[in-house]
Amino acid sequence: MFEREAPLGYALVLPAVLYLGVFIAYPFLMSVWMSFSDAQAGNQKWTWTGWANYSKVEAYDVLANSFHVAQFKEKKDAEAFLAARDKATVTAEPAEGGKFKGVLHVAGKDVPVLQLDNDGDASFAVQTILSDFDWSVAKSGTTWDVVAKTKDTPLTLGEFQDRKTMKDAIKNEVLVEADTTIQEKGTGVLQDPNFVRAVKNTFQYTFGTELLKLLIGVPCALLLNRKFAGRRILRGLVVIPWVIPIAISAQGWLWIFDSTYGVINWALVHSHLVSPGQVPNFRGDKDWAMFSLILVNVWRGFPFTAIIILAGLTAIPDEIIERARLDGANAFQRFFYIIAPMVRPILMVSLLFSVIFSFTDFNTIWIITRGGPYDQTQVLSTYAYQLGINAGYLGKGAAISLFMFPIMAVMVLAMLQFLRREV
Amino acid sequence: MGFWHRIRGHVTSWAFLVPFLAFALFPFYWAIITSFKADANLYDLRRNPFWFAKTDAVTHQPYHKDIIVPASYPAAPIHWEIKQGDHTTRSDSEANPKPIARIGDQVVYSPVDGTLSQIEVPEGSTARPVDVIGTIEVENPTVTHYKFLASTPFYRWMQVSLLTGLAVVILTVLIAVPAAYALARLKFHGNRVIGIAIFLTYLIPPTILFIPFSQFVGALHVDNTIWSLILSYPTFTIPFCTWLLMGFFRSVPKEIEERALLDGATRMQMLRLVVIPVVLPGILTAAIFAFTLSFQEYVYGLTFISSTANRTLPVGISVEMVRGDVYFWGPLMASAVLGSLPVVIVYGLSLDYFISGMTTGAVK
Repeated sequence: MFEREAPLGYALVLPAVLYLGVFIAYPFLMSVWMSFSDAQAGNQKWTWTGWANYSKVEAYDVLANSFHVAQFKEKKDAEAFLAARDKATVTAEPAEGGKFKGVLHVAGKDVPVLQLDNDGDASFAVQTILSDFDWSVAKSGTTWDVVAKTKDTPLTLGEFQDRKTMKDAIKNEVLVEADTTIQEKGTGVLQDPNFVRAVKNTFQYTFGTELLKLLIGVPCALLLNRKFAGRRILRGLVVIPWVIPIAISAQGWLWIFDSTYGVINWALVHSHLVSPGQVPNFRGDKDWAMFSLILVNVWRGFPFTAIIILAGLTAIPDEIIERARLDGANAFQRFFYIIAPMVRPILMVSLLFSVIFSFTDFNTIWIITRGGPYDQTQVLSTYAYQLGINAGYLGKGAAISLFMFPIMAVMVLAMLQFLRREV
Repeated sequence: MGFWHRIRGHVTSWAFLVPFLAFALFPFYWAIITSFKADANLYDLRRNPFWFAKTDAVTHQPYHKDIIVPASYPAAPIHWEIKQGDHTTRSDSEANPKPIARIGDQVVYSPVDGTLSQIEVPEGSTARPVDVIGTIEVENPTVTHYKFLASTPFYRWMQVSLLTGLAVVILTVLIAVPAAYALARLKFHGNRVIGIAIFLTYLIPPTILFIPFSQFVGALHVDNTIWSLILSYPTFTIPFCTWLLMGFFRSVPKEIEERALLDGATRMQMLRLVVIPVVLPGILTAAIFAFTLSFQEYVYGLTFISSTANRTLPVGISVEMVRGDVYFWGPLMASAVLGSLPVVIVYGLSLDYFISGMTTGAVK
């Protein structure tokens, strides 16, 4: 039997294996090669460029967020120093090597803060610390320090080509204790702030939607599992968002989210919850835009979660639940001690599928926000499209797509582990 | 047991499910009601948007539209082609629109669907540029947005999507059915590995592959044609359907196969006469999914096709029905409603197959 089956078996799977080999494995390998090359739209010959698409640092920006401008033994001395800030002045004084020191004059003390190449830069930088930074007194170790801090606009101390000159320069330039951060500048996607934001958004989008899908899908499945007239029709209706192409149904959501004529804002204004001038701009404000994306994805995905969990619930024999009821278990106990453990395996599978769908989702984001406003809601797939197809940087686009792969691989391994145990 | 006692369970189940149902269906209700509203009603913010209104909220007059002589027309005597009280049809939703009036040798078309309610410049009088020559009472609810779709490539996109879906279904069934049977039933080396590999390819989404794929279809010289879609869509339908069908083949009792073989049938005969009829519901489910998945696809359609005429329906609607930043909500919602119909019909006819496919596809 075994001998006769093998040739037939190979013959029957061959078309599928050939097709998938040509149309999935080949593009996938091509994607890896493109991500290591200078592939661009219209450029026929691609050459190997190593990791340049992933990470290529061309310069380091040194940014300073806070300076300890003075240290005192006593708290009241520090506070007196802080109080004298209004009358403080700044001068630039020549220093050795043709450099200039920016000096802060506060309460009779002269504090050299920075040493820069010319007097204009030195006095400007120190003046910024004096007038634009927030000053406060903080205890640091045994001393009381007067600290000048900023949240959003750190002072740029310079751009450097390599790490060593940068370190030396910081040592020579900054004359007080200071917190500095180093920002890489370059042409790789890792140096692209939009890419970093896309990674963050992808996770936020995925976890936000999955949590909500469970919170809505589980109760929905429990209700659909009850026996009542019209159950089949209701189940059919709940699944509709999953059936309609999202690119089409998202047009309806666009209209619902419209800031002038949309129904949500109409309801908010007419119920006097929000005044007409302050209605949310669902697609123009970055937080509302992310909220809108999550809402649409949850709307589309919760039926899937509910139906899969429902399948798990239907598989639980009625007698088990009935016996628990007779034994005096209330509805919550029955849910947490009997139903939940029994649907857990199926729930995990649906969750993994759902996570993969959300993590690699393109359609919802592309139609609702197109990654906007100003790339604030880009996720990996949309940013790959933006850079790879719209801007023509095929290599970078491929690199961004491939960033999804390791995470996908982890999910898939988890799923395989699971299947091995179950099947 | 009293009546109330008997129906209480049903009523509470419904009551608790209503919020879920409302959430799931509201966008469709909203798209449908929008698609039938005249623009005048659609943008009247003082009116309750959940239903139709006949009159303007401020003037309490029926919604109307003035007919204005284009500024480029010369002043000339007017000749009315229709009478007061006659119905008019918006010119851009007609293939051969009928003029409502002539001014000299120029023609005037109706700006909106409705009824000619008032004539300001009577027959034979001189009509000057930017004069208001009459008023049309707007028809509401109206099918004007649906008629407008005829002037767009909407039906062409529908054709592309349906044709692609059909071709993909055939290709998928031809490749996935034999593969699924072999993987589920026949013993050969690598059987399990191939099964898992096919499952893994199902998990590689189009969003990882679309950039190299766009170059690949270019190299095959099928970019911008329907063939690029027919060749690429099976990358997700074949793995899914193979996986789905393996579950169905496994559920066929081995004994009926063995008996057929013992009765002297060849394996191919046995497959054709015994196994395939038994798993027909499974094949139908696979076909339904292959069709739905290809109808829903967006990234490949967006990336591979650049000419308006060859777009698929979801891409066409989302890319071409919006001009710059201007959304024409009426026609857009009409196209969304009509565009959903093919999958809604398939779904409605195969509700149970569809839901069993959703669960087996994910679980088995």
